[in-house]
Amino acid sequence: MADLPASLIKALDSLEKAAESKDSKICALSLRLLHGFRSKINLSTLASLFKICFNKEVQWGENQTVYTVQYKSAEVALYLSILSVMLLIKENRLREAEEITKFELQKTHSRNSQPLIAKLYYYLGYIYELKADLDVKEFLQYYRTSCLKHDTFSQAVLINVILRFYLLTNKVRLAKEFSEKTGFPDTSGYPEIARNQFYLGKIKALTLNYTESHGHLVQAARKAPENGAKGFKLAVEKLRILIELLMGTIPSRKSLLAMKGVIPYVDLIRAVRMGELDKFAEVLDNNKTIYIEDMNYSLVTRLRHIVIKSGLKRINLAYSAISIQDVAYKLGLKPQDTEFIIAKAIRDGVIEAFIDHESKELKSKTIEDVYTTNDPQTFLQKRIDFCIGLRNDTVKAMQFPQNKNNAEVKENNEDIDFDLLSDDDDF
Amino acid sequence: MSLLALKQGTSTLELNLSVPNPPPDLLNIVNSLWQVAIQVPSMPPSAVKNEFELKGIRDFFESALKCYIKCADFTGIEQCFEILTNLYQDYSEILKDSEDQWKIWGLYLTYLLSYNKIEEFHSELESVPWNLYTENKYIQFAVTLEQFFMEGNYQEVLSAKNHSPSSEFDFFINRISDTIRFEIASSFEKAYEKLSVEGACQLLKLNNHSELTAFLQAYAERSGKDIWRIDNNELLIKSNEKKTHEIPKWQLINQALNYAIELERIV
Repeated sequence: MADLPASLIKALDSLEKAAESKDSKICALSLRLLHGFRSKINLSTLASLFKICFNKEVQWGENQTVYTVQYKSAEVALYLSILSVMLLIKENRLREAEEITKFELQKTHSRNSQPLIAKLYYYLGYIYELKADLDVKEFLQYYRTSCLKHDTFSQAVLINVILRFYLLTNKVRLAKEFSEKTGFPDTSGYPEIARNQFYLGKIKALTLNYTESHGHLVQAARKAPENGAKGFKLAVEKLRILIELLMGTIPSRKSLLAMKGVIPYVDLIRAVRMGELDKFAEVLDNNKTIYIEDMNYSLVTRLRHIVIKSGLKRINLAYSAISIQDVAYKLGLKPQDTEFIIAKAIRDGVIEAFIDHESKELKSKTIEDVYTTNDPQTFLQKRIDFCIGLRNDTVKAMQFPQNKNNAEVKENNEDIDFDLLSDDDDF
Repeated sequence: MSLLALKQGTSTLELNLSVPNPPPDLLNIVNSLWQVAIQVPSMPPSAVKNEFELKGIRDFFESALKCYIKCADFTGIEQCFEILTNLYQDYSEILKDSEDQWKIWGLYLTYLLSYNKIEEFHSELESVPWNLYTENKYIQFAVTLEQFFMEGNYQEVLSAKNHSPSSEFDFFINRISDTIRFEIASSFEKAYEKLSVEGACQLLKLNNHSELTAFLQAYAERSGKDIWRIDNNELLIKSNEKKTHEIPKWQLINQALNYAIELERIV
């Protein structure tokens, strides 16, 4: 008992109080500490805790003994089982972890322990993924149950697990239909929202809906935690770069150079900006395995026509008139194909130019004076609308000051005071 | 029992297909065999999953697909594709890969492309393992076709007819070739200021003036816009003539009123 961190004991104490007062926020808060315990506790210390905490026998590895009464509530049992599942997964004892989760899920639980149940579903999904069993049927069943119980925490977690499994098995159509038919609960915590936005962004990207996908990915990056979740933020960054390239805009490179894992994608940006097809093919070949691992390969192959378009843009800027033969040579295409490709590019609005069929030339249009059109007015209007919207939202979000007694805050930073429930219970 | 009848039916279908002129009542034969197929207990969706029955069902639907393609029956083709993709994807633990599997996949992708269902094309393409994009000739054909389409490389699309991997693909390629001409015409609108009639015929691969006028009429009907005018020997595109810009007065009035309202709220 001495080698258990004091914060764990405090957490269990407050859970016990929460069980009596039926407070679900404390349960959600205690989950935040869970990750911190991962490195501090191991299974044997946990086993000794079990010995002391419970008045019933719990089968725990090889330890089965009689316990004294100290904690009676089901929430504490649930919390400890989540902790044990986490440590078992860490030691790769998946079968036992699965048994414990299913055992706990079978029992009926009170409403205030819903965040804890959601965490169990999350670990169950993780266990199945480690086992490489990506069958969705069981989780659909769990989702149905959680909807019936109006358990929004579990619903959010389960939607994410199901979407993840569909995407891992490449069932894009099913993922899309599932995300359209289910409503993701708005009141979920930011981690789940971030995950959901990432999966939705991935689905929209695969079904050619690039603008919406970009919106989702920006949201996902915003809702991700500031410290930590580096792998997630990296994945979001990679996908965002690809989407921006596919939309035709070149992402800025300065912010990206900080992250190490993004380098293959930065190479892509360079190749697309140059507009040279052979350079692009080279980058593709070199980094093929990385793209396949990230499951982004199909999106990268779509970039080919973007390379051509960006090459055309550069040529159009540099030349006021250029023969189609030269254009073909610069882009690395066959001359007889080029005329059609250019025509299509002009139709798509990539370049402002026209083709002179007689002399086989591409001539740029003279640039119209922007101020004679209505464009400045529309842009200004958009910005004004945004600022007014922002102001109205802030006015709506204003609240009366909280009248909590701040004298009760303890100076010791290690202890977490569950009494001071501030408004920023985001994570 | 019914499985045996199904297997016999499938082999007669295959025989009929190998003959250059299929019998006129081929569709009736296929339809009657379809009725037999749905009676088989393992027909999806079903809890029963017998390997032999599933294999028999799959072979039948593959042959049925070939018959429908020959007779150009769209609804039949669509239904066959749905059932076959279901069989290939969801029953992969029970059924081993069929020989024609990737050919049917390639056909399915080309079918989606020819009907301009690009979104579904990409979703279904995700289910295909990426190494087959270059290794399997059927999948490679569909993938490169889509690439050419996206780039606007219509020349290559038209020449794709010459190296299609098998005869069944021709049906869909012909459909694509028809739409290509309309695509080329729609890009003319923006890309060319003026075009001589000979040039237009050359690009659209038409033979003379009358064909061009006929095509332009068809295009105008299809797209609902009348953008061409033939003047002497030149094709003039109407939308390129100068238009005066109107000041959008109602919009400006609305905006000014909104500014006034918001300012009053703030102050």
